[in-house]
Amino acid sequence: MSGRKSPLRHLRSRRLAIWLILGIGVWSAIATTIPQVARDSAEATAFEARYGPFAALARAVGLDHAYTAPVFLTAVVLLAVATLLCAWERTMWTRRRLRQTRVVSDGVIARLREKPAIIVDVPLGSPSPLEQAAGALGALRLKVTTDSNLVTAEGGRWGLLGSPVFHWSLGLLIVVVGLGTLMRAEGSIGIPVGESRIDTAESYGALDEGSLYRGHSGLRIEATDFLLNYMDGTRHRGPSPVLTLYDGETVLKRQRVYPNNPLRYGSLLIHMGAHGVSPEISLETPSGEEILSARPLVDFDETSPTGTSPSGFFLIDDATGTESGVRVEVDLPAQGKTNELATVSLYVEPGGWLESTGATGLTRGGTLELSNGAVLRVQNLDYYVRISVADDWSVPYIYALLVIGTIGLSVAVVLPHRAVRLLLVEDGDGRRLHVHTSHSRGDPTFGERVERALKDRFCDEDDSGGER
Amino acid sequence: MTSETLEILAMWGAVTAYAVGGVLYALGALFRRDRLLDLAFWISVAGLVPHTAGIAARWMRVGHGPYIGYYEAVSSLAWSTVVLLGIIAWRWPKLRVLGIVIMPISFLAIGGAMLAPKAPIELSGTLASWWLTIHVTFAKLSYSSFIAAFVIALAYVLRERRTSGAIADLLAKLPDQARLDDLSYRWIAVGFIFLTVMVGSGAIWANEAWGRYWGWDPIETWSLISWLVYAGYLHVRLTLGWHGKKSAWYAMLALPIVVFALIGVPVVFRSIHGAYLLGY
Ligand code: HEM
Repeated sequence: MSGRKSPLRHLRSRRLAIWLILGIGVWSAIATTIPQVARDSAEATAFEARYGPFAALARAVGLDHAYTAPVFLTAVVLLAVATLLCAWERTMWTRRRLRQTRVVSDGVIARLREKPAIIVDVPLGSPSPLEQAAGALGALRLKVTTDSNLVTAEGGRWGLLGSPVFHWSLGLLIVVVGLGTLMRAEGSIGIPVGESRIDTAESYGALDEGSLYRGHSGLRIEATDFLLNYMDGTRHRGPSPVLTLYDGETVLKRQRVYPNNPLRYGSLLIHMGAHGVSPEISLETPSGEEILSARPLVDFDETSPTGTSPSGFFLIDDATGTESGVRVEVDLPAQGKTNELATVSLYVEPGGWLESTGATGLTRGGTLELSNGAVLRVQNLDYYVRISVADDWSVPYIYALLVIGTIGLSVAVVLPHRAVRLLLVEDGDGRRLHVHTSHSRGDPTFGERVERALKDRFCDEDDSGGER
Repeated sequence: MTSETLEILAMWGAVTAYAVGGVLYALGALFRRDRLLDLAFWISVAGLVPHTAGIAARWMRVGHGPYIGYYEAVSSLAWSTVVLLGIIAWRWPKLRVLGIVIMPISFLAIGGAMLAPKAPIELSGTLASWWLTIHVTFAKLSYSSFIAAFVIALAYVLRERRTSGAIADLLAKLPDQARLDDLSYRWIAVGFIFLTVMVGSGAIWANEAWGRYWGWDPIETWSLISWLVYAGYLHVRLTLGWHGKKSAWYAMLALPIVVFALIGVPVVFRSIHGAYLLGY
């Protein structure tokens, strides 16, 4: 191997790890004071007007999209690499440590002889002092091995594994979260109750796809049923649909969906998002034949006088190819989001052959006659649900790494590794125990406890011997 | 007596006990009377009886644990802090005197809670989850542990500075500095485990409730910041060997960050998490 230092060496620096950890913390803290919104949005403009130079600086370094900014991502990647390298280093260190505590080298014995940390005098008449010492250490819940004039005792061997397990889990967690984010898609689909939509990009209203997303499932999602307020025992679960997932005609899963009870299938996770009204409107020929049926999605809007925001659909005249828009407004009764007493208003935007202006206050069955004799009819008034669909394979792995990491951390903290080595030294001055202790967390009381346990053992013997 | 009246009476009983406990602690320190300090400790811990009764009465009445709304969240934080004082005093009797700092904090917390609106907030569909219970239980455990670490670190730093006077006499009753240093670290290490479970269960709960495990919502971000700050503490201690004063100052300066994450963020930022603390 060449003597040159690998760049990875710098990433193993403990100071760098601390700077990265704290740096990411400080960055995130500053970011919470800056609106994380699109640069051309009103909020961003208002912020910029108010905090001129600070806002400009924040924008320059990317703090206005703090968690996708190159600075942040670089720090996270460096932290992931550093953590994995450290996990490797901790693993090697632990392996050495686990071996070392079992084998005692000549060097260790020499150090025990020359420079003991604790010395315990053994009374003259004391039989088998090593056995006594082993007993005392055993009482401290240490596992004891005796070998000629040497006793080694150890506790919390598992604890040594805690830190590597924890660092591996953390490093992998950052990697999996990163990959998961790149390969994930999340969006919402509006489905009128009783209808279904195919899981393809076109079905989504809002959709956020990671750059490595491998494509939508193509499965069909049906809003089979809907309750405005589902009661689960005594608990109100709010608006809740029954969703059915189909592959072709095969039912893959059917389930009522409400908060904390999403539908899961493979990597798909489907939540109830919002709901709104969805009138069913048909177009009939003068002879009464239905030629088209539409289910526009009408959202609730508390600020509008009707309680909803207008929606609509298009009619195309096959003969001329002209398009006319049908504006649909739903007037909700004052209280609440129920469509029991709702009425529908239809307005046809002039375009080609449709010149009618509109009809208001239509209830079920109500019609609007068009200039060519065709009729728009309100067939039904039902709801639609807007479900949120997340497709992310990484979630179970993230959960698993969180659990393993927490177990590793707990083991490291709760079960610190403790070791004692003790040598019986006999010379002209008498018999003594020379002791070294080590505690992985540097607990200052461990050495004291060992010393007290040993001294108590031999003092007791001394006292009782004296009385006899 | 209705359960609501019982709750209010019990809570005022607890406020009184914590106030008297805090005052007796101060007097005990000022006049250097051990007996007063003991009395202060026992009265403070006795305050847990009405406090527990108050929380239990409300729990039974409103049907959910003490974590929805400012009143419930802050009063239960005070409760867990006093329980912690009890545990510390039981494990390390000499540390009983730490009540001199813990009791005023607990008194201010419960007093502040009593001033907040007390109307129960209904547990919405999103909040009704086992993950929420795990999440808030561990949040409480971690915040209480960090408060303990803070108080022990404060005692450490004060003892480094004061060598005479009433406070020095009081501090003399504590275990030696090396042990305090170790204890403060231990509470942070344990608190960090709790915080890890808190953040992890929060992420799992968010995924179950909303379909995303992390959304950089202000409170999520600030709990991650708290986590990073304490990871920093453990690192400077275990890898750079910061001990004693430096480590104690770090433990003290880190606490305001978690307190902000818990209480400040829902007030300053309008976040979805405000739902459980402020009820919007
Ligand atoms: C996401 C980043 C990291 C976090 C949150 C983290 C957290 C922790 C925690 C909580 C401990 C204490 C565990 C215990 O008591 O054993 C610890 C210990 C330690 N960490 Fe990290 N760590 C991270 C990354 C790193 C990196 C990058 C390095 C290497 C440069 C590193 C090296 C160490 C060492 C040497 C110890 C102490 C010895 C040991 O317990 O094994 N850590 N870390």
